Amino acid sequence: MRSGARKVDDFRYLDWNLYGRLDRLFLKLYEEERELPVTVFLDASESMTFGEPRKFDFARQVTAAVGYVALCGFDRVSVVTFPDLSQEPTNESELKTRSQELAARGALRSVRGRKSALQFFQNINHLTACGAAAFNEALRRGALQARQAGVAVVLSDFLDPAGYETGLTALVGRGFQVNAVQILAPDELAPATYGDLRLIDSETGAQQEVTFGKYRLNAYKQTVQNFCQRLREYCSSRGMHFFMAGSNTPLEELLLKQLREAEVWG
Amino acid sequence: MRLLAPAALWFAAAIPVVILFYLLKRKRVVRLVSSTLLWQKFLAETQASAPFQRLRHNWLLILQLLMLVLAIFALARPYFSGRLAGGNLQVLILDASASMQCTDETPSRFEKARAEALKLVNSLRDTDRMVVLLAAAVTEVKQSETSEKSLLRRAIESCRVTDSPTRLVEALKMAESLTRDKTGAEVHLFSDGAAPGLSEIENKGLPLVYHLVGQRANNLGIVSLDVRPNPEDPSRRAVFTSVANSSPDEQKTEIELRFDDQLLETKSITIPATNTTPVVFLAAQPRDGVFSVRITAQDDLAADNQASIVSVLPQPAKVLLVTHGNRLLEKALKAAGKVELSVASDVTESKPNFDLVVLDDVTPAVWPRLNTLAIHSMNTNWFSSVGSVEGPAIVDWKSTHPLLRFVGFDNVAIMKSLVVKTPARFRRARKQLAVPHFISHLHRQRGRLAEPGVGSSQPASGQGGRAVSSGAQRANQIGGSDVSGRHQARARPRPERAGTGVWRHGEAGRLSPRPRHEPDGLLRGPA
Repeated sequence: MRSGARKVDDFRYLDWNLYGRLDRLFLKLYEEERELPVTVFLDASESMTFGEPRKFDFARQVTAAVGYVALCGFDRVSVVTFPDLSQEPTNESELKTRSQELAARGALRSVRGRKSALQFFQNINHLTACGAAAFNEALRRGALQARQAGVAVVLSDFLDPAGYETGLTALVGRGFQVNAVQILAPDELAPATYGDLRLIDSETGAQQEVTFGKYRLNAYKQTVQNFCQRLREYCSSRGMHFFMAGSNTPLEELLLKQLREAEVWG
Repeated sequence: MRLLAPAALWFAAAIPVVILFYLLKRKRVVRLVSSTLLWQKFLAETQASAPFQRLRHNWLLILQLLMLVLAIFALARPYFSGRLAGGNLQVLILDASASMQCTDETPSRFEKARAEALKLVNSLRDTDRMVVLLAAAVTEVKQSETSEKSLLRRAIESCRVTDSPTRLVEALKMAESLTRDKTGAEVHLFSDGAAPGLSEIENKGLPLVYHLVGQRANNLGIVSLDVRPNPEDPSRRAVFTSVANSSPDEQKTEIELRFDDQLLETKSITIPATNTTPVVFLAAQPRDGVFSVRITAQDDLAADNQASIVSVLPQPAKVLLVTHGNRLLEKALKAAGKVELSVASDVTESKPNFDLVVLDDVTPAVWPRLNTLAIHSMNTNWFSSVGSVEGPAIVDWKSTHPLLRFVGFDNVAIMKSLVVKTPARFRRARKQLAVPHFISHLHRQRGRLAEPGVGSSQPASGQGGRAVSSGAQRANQIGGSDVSGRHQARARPRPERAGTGVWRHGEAGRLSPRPRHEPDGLLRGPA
């Protein structure tokens, strides 16, 4: 803001409020944007450790990218990692690792400034994935704890048996602009293991017997497509953006193409 | 196409059982996945067809189901109805004679014939029918007319070669009756061709297909064997045998004579091609026993290289002379040798152990049930005298009769003879010129020789008379003939089949037909 208006200045840039209070003309040279809270809900459940490359690694890369862009834009970045760490450490090394992760999770709750980017990356690197997701509970609690609604980026595989509707609805109800990114492993999109299988769920321990062969691959793909389509429709109906990515998808494809096309960022 | 046994389709109920086994026997691979959520949704969407989709692309299951379906289909016995010509009748004759044991084929002629017969069975069409005949001493129908190959094979497998000769004519006549008026019928004969009497079926138009087995006739065989007292030395025995050579080459061999497995003598003989050589051994016989002859040459048929015969020592003849006193006759009987002579003046039934009773001018009240020679015993009701004749000439006599075997009438002159009329049951032993006859009567049941007496008579009209033989002449000869007769009777169960009592080595007690030499040089029994 520059004081003292000149004849060539546009009247539209005069700050008339200040003129009323101070009786001096002030010319507005720029507009200061308000701080935009960017909250990243990062799924760190056991199911995210599968895939080649791992889904959790891909999710951390996206988190780092989104966070870095936000930090560069002077926005406040908050990374909510769920589920909480519940497993007690059994030895010294686990205690140290757990302490580092707890510290990292705490530090990631609120990050500001471009200079914090390096620390931000390091903290993301300390995150690990384990336990059952409790997706809805985590998002609902995150929505309640947020002091200010902003942009929410949900990174998960959305494979919680309890569903995802409650959690996403809570974020939308809190006023978040929700961007749901579903990350699936290549083996989940098109399994390469055939035969008579007894499948064990990594999070719940549930068993499922299935006889699978190439002749049923298309039917399986159709099932996955139907699942994703329902999630997409759910998001669209509530004003949320939905993105679908395999863990082997190039990062640029998601960040520079899909997110930009959806105008998540400019 | 139709089914003969459609009820067999019920076996199709076994198909779900096979599928069930495949559903139950699966071994699943345990695999940890991120989440089973997608799989649950996948199974929920495809649940309707899931049980059957589990079985897709299971080639083992498909093959097993295919085999099961084919088996059920076969049990249902499908057939096509159409016009087909009826099958032909084939009559298979398998020669099972002793010559089929020859080893010139591998392993033997009979096995070779059996193998070729089985090949013939395998080549039969389904509609063809076959009869299997086994031709040995008796033709046996091993399998009646059938088209079942398994039955035919079983029948052929059950055939066994024998030691007997073959009556192929009988088998061929049976085959002819089976194939008569049947078009397309064939008679397949598997034989080595060593069969007599085939000329009987020549020009009969028999549809005969001859399968020859046998490559050569390399055989030496003993074709006859007999034991008799040595005429020059009664203490020794003469063993007469003959060896036949059926091969086209001259053969040399050694022939051994054994008595109860003890080697007595060995001779080297040379037998011309396709010829028979007689061999005579002279050997002492200390006791009753078995003489065996064996040729040592190796040939294709070993069954005829050895033969045995039982020889029994002659026993003294017990003769009862019933006379009122005839020293000349006593001396004549004693001179015969090996005769235990008893003299009596009357005949009683209490002396049954005599081999011969000689009645000299005695007419018994009851005729003894023994061999009897009656001299000058006129008073019998057997004959009715019709006259007498002076000096009749003897023109013929039955030299083959056991009693007259060694008797000659060349130097016998008859001064006067009765002419009698003989009953019809009598058999004429001698024939005289100019009506008068001698009669020797052999009673068939009682076996006695009777002489009513010597006298003069005229021939009777009609049947003609039969005269009685000269007692003196008979008495002079009876010793030798009787001894010989006893031996013959013991060595040969049936005197009328004299010379047939040949026992093979190792088969003592079993009477086998005497082998004889056939035109092809192979050993054969009497046809």
